[in-house]
Amino acid sequence: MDVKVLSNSDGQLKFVAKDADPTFMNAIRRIIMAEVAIPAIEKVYIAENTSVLYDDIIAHRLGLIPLKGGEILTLTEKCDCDKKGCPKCESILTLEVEAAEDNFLVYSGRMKAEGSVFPANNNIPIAEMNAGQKLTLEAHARLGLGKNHAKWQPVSACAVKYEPIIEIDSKKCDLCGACIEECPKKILKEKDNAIVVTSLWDCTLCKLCEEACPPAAIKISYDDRNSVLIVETTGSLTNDELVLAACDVMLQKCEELKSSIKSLPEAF
Amino acid sequence: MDDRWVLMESFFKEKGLVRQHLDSFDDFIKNKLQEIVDEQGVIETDLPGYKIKLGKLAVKRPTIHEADGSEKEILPMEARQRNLSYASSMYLTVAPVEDGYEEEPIEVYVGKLPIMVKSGYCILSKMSKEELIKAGEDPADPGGYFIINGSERVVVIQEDLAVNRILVDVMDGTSPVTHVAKVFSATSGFRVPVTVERMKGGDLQVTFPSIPGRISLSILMKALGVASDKELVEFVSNEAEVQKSLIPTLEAGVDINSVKDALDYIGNRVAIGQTSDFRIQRAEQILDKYLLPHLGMTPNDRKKKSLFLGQMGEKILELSIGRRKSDDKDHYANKRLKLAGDLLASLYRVAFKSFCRDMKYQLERAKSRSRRVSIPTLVRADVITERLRHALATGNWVGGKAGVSQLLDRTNYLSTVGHLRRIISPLSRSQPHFEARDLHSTQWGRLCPSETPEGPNCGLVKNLALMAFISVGVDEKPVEELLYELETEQIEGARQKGLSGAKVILNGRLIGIHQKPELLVSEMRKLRRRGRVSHEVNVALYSTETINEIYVNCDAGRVRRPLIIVDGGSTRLAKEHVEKLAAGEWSWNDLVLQGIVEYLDAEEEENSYIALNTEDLDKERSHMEIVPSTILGISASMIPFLEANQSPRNTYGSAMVKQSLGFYAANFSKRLDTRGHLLHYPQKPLVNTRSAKTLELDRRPAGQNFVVAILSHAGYNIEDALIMNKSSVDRGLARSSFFRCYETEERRYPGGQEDKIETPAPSVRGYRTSESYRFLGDDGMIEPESIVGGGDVLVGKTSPPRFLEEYREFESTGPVRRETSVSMRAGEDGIVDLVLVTETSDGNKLVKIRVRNERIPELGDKFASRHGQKGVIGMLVPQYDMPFTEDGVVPDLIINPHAIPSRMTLGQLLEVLGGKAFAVSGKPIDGTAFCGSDEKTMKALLRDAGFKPSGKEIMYDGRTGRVLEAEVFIGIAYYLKLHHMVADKMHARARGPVQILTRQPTEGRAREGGLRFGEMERDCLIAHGAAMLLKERLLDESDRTVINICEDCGLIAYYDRVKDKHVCPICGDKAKTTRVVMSYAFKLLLQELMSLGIAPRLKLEEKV
Repeated sequence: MDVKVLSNSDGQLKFVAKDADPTFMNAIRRIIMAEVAIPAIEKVYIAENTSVLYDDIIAHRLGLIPLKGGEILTLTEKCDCDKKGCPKCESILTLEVEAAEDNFLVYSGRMKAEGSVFPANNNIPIAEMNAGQKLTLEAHARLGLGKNHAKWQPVSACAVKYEPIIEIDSKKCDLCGACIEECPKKILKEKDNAIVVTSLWDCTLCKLCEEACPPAAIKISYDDRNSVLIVETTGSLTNDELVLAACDVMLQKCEELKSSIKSLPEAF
Repeated sequence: MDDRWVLMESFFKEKGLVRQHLDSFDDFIKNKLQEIVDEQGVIETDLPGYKIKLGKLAVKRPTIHEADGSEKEILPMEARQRNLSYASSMYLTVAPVEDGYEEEPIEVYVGKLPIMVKSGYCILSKMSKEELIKAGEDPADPGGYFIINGSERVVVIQEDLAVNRILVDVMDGTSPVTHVAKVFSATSGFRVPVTVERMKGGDLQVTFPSIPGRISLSILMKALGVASDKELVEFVSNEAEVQKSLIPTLEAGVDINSVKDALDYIGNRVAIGQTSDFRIQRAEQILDKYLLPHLGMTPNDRKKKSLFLGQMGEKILELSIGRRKSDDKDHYANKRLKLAGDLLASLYRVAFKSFCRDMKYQLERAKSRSRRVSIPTLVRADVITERLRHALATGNWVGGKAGVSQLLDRTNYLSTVGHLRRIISPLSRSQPHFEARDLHSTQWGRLCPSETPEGPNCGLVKNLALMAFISVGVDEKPVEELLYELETEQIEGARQKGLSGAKVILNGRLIGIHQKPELLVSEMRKLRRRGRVSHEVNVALYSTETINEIYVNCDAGRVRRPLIIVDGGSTRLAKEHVEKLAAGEWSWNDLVLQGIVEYLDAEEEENSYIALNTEDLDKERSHMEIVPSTILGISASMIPFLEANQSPRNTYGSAMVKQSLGFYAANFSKRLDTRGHLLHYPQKPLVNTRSAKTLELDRRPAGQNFVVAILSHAGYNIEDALIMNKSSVDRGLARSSFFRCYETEERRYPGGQEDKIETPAPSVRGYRTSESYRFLGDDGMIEPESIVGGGDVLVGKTSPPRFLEEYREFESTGPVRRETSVSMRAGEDGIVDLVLVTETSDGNKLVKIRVRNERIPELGDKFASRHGQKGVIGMLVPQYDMPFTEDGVVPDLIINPHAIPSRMTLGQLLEVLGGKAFAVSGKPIDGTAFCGSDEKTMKALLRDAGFKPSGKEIMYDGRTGRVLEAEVFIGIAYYLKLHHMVADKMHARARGPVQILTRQPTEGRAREGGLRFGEMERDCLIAHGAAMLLKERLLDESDRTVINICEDCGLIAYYDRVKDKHVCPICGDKAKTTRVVMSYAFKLLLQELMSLGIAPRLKLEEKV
């Protein structure tokens, strides 16, 4: 397997893995989405809420705030506190606001971290309040898995994409330029009397160039042995931390499989 | 095009959406109310020389009478919350007249008049936006409804056949009548049909109520004072051909040659065996009162009536000799709409009559006791109050009409507004009436072609088109005078001179002849455009080879629509006008006053040639549409790219947008509707229509923009199911709150007994478990934010015993009180949202409790796009299993490809494409019907953003990571969450309550009922020979009972508890009885037969 990072900017990580089956890449993708533990607010104790939003809505909104600093927590399911929640598996955040003026927006940055966990972004609106309205609450964050609720999903977008293959038959090509016009991603260019591909990985396999080419000189296909993984986190973990964590989960799963097969009496 | 939209926007800025109701109601209070009082004029009494003169009726500001006797002004929100009626006091000035001496007039309180919200008399109509918010109102609320006992009631517009207009028709061959001319003569208060029929013999006969049988037209006209046959013929027509066909009619009346004879002839029909003088008097009375009363009810009006009869005669004869065609009853010129004002007037008239009757009775009674009477104490104000309140609260109107007032639909803002623009046709739903249900070409621009219900009401319930406006009506006197001024020859004179020309018909009545009809019509229109005549006057010229008629209309209830006037191939609307409008210097009304736009009724529209767009303008055109898409109603205006859809889909779509959940009113937190839904994150539609924006429907949205892919995916969206992204749902997609309100009142009973709101003591009859009362505080009420479930008591209440016998049981403790607490509905749960404690107008304590319940989309919840594409969730798929595009975009919703081809909802495909183009480019896509964005524009935007212009994308299966073979059409569409949710419908039962009478399981979810094992299911078991199962289902699991039957006589034995044995009431206790298993319903049958005096004996045999 040959791995190359294509880009790592704007919160998006893109890397190619050559000679990796797409199903393997998808396994990583699915683990990223479903099985990497990150913290999210699971329980909210509301002391006072005179805003127009109901307690349930506020709790739901709090749950969706990406949180950082969950590394030192353990999964509640695996904690010895019997799923009750204890300082080992829970981290507390508090919020206490009273709006001084109308149309006052409460942002995630107003939450005070009592433990290790804090909001990954301080500009997420929680509620809009009018003067005199109050909101006092205590939120308990826990680690969780994306398969249980989308709030524990560390990524917003995560996709696998095959490597496109653009074959241009220079014998057939009459350099009419129709394909250059047609390509929505503008990745084809004429250079030295030939059509060349400027950025192969941008091709969306839309095949518009193929349809536009009168002599059928261009052919689009893909190579599913080489694929790219696109990761865009919500901010709880960085992109690389996340991929590494996913690999750990995968390895751990393999270890578990290995040990359980070994423990089978009839094996070997 | 944009210029014309400015016009439309200014129209709605000035009129709003329910102006017709408000105008009609204001007209009712300002004019009709006083007219009704004046109709009565005086209250005559049987006391000699004593009567009461009625004067001015004054309507005050809306108030309520509190229990302590004070009168206080109220706002609509208080009325809604406290179950009050939003009504004003009416004061009538009366002056008693005794022996010709008129006493000082006094003002008396005569009752309360419900006030239409936001009408001229409503306090809200003068408030600014900020004041409205302070008053607890949603500033966008349209008004136009009443508040009766706290509930919002709409008086729905009623469609009716136009009155006072002659409609002719051909009869089928089997009847003795060949042709018929009918008119409903209506004047304030009543409606009388008059029919002229042409018999097989060619003579004309008249029928009208209160005279049995037919009367020859000639005799009737003679009775009305037509002196000679010559005059009679003149009254009918001066066309030789028509006159000739009048001969059989003249022959029928040949024996009667004087007015007296003719009256006697009629008198003989109604007062047989009376003296001649009396007969004539009766005949005169009937002619004055019951024949064509709209022309007047005095002897002076008889000439008018004979002229009108002549007009009817001419029309029917013209029909019979083929000079004209029969009238089209479904033509919208022949329809009138009755609005709240008209309907209230007819109701008020009846109420006022009975009020006067009651006052007369009270006066006579009081006067007989003492000499001086105080009128204010005699007036029974609740006669009117109750009559109005009751009719509005139940919808039962005078004349036996039901369903006139309906509970205002508050599902979402659009359904509210739509409800206020609904039109009901009184035609019965059981008969087919195919023509009446069909869309008629004259409904263009007046009624929505798409929005009508399916099923029995199809085509009978209609909706106003956006710019349709209903005439309020202007006085016809000045119009008539103007017509004479413009050289219309008065009909009598014209006929005597034998003038030929066009007949001038004003509101259905022939008033004269004009020799240059084109000139008169163009003159009238010119005057109207200059503002010399009211803009409500419409003129139409019908001219064919054989008929030449000018119709002038100025009555109320005509549906009219505004159009831009075109002369000589160019519109009168100039750029500067639009600029003035846009700058706010001008309003819509200025356009009407300046003669730039005018309203046309269906009649005048027949004379016009209307261009749709500027491209169509040429010399021939007389008008231009303002905006073509205003032919649609409110609901249909919500549908983007409507013109691309198959027509019935728009009908379904219009019906469904009214069921979608959204932000129904900005004051929802103050409202206590019995049921209400609120969407948590409502969004404006990405692809919207300009009409919807103009009407500010996107300020109260009811739906969300979903990423939609058309894909089969695992097959869980087969047959209109939907696959929804579970992760999207987790993130709050389509989440809503459901509110239900419970209420109870602490009533007082006669005899000093009263209800008490408290936590009931265990000794109370009907005490539930103490568990049920666990949330109640010291005041007997639940705390807000308590989490409650089915059966939990919200307000504890005890009531005094209902019957006298319950008193007898009392021991030293006194009578046992009943438990009458309010508890949560079975199977529902939620969180107590609001507890409102207030007082009714009777001074009783009123508690209202609102319970909220969060609704997260689940399997089986119903969703729909705006194109009539509905479906229920078939599977919730987590994001990692969903197909994704190479950018990682995951659909929120997957619909099945089979939903598209047969339904041909291309509008939805365009919406999805447009939504995607908008989302990727940030450039708005407009979906307005007939003038929305081009498909090419969307495609170009998509291409520029690096997407395939077709909207299709390569997608990968989230489960395997492999590419999907086909390209997938994916984009953004506005989806609606409809209020049919599984949580409200899910139901199952093992054991449960039974009916008292039959002991069979109850029916329906609300009563925790059983699921019916029906006839066809029974057939199945019989076919299988599954006898045991059959008996178990039908007997053992239903109403199995064991009855002892006397072996001797076969009748039912009873159980004697003292002797501990079964006794036959006939054979005594010696007889042996046997236990027989039977259905309890059968036992009932036996007993019912016995009550009829039949002895149903069961013959018992040993089981083999």
